[in-house]
Amino acid sequence: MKSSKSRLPMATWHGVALVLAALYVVPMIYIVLASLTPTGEPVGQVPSRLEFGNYIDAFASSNFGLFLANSVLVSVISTAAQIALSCTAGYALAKLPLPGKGLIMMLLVALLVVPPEIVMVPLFVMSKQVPFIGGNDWLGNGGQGLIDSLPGLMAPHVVSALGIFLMRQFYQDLPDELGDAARVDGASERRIFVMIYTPLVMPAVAVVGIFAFQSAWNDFLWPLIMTRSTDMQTLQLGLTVFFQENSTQWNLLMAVVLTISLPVLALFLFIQKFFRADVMSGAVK
Amino acid sequence: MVAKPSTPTGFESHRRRAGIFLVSPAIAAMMLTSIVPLILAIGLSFTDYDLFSTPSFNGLTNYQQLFSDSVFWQALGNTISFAFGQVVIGVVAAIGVALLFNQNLTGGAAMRTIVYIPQAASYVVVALLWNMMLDPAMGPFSRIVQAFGGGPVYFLSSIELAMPSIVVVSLWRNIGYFMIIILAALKSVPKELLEAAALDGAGAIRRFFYITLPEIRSAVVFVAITWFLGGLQMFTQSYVMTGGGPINATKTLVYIMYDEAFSALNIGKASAIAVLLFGAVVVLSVSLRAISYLMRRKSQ
Repeated sequence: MKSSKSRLPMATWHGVALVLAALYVVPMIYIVLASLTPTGEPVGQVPSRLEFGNYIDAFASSNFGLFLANSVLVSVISTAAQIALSCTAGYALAKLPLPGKGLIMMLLVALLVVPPEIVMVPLFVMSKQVPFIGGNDWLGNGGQGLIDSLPGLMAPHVVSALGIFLMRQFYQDLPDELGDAARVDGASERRIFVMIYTPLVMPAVAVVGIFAFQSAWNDFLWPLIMTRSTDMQTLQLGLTVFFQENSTQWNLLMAVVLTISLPVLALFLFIQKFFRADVMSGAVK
Repeated sequence: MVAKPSTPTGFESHRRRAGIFLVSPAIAAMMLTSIVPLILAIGLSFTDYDLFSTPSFNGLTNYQQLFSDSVFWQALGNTISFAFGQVVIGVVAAIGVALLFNQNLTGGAAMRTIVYIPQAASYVVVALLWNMMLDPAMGPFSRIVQAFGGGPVYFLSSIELAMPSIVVVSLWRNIGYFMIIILAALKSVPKELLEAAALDGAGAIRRFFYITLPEIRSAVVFVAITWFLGGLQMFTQSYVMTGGGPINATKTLVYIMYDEAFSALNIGKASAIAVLLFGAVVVLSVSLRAISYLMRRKSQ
């Protein structure tokens, strides 16, 4: 390997890496500077003073606090639901006898490639026609069903084929003897599932949870379709509407962009190491 | 200690009941959010449903209308050029960046994290950030061109530059993720192979094409398939950055599906677009997987 180093010296590699990193760091510096530029000054230049009040103004000028609450509610509840459904179904498919198991697995694998965008329109139609909800009669006519409601916003995120599939793989890798031994000791099936196997797959639960949270938190098309009133907007939608209505207020917009990105970013960096190892071992095979 | 249940059949049926109990909620939820909507999309694509009146069957009318609609063909072309452009540039770039971070760089871990960070941001956030960066008046790129005597560059409102700009922005966000996958594969390339080849006088380029690339091939295929299929679903970047314009230059299939369903209230036609997209995804992923399977078989 020595010869290659002399031909392509490490200095060149470092130079390229620095240029690459600059492509990422410069836009990030731009956001920070833009968010601190006083209103009235052009953004994209070093501001005359740093206006931290932008952060307060931004959240005061629109309902971003409410949008944040909506986003948190939708993401947290649908993540919890997705974790629960992925664990129960994944465990049953891996460790319990089931009629039609082969068929269920085949369907799951097939659903892995179905892009969520494809079912958006019919799912919207179904949400509108839910009986007895949102002013609907028993046939699902007359009202707006789940449209413009928080449960409606959660609908596509409460379950995913990928989550079930990943959990099934992780449960499958655990030895059957663990459960057999507990059964001999008289443990119930529920106890074996909850107390013996599930604590051993916690890293996988975290991975499924992060996938679920990210997909709900970052979703745009579904909230765009499902939301009628400002009260139900999520952050992603609220940001876009704010941008379309006040496209010149870059400083306030960037203050919000930064504020809503930082928590997700912190979470991301915090779990990054183990996220990478686990996802890749499952995905690249 | 409690003895094992005496009748194995009763024991089996007990476990079977537990299994059905545990799997049912997830199956019901999958039915409601994926399978029924998928079947409904196929069904509605043969009707004139408009969200309010009772749908009536109209055969292949929606498909015929789509195939004779120039906007549909334009959106199809835009979608393919976006997905294809992003994958071709992206796979080469991701391999390059992964090779770079596979060297023992000082500060390599920090730089790798920086490249990976946009992955945590939503497409909306990335699109808004780049709307500012690509702004003709205050964005740095346009300002650099102006500093060298050019005019302001209208990245997002010019027909020629709008889609390439969206491709670059999407690459900027996504490269980190795919780079990490390829980097993981690079780390598993046997060092002895590379050293032996180097001793035999193979240069860096030969070593890359004859040893490294074949070793990481399945990771590269995985990245290419995932990325391409993801690209076929592009919507948010176009919606936020260009509104599908200028003159439909950045309208994608999902975008016209959205337009048909929620601007024109033509649920039948929107469903037909969804069905076509679904067909394309299925055919592509099945055939790509078959090809990569055959390639693996051949190489063994």
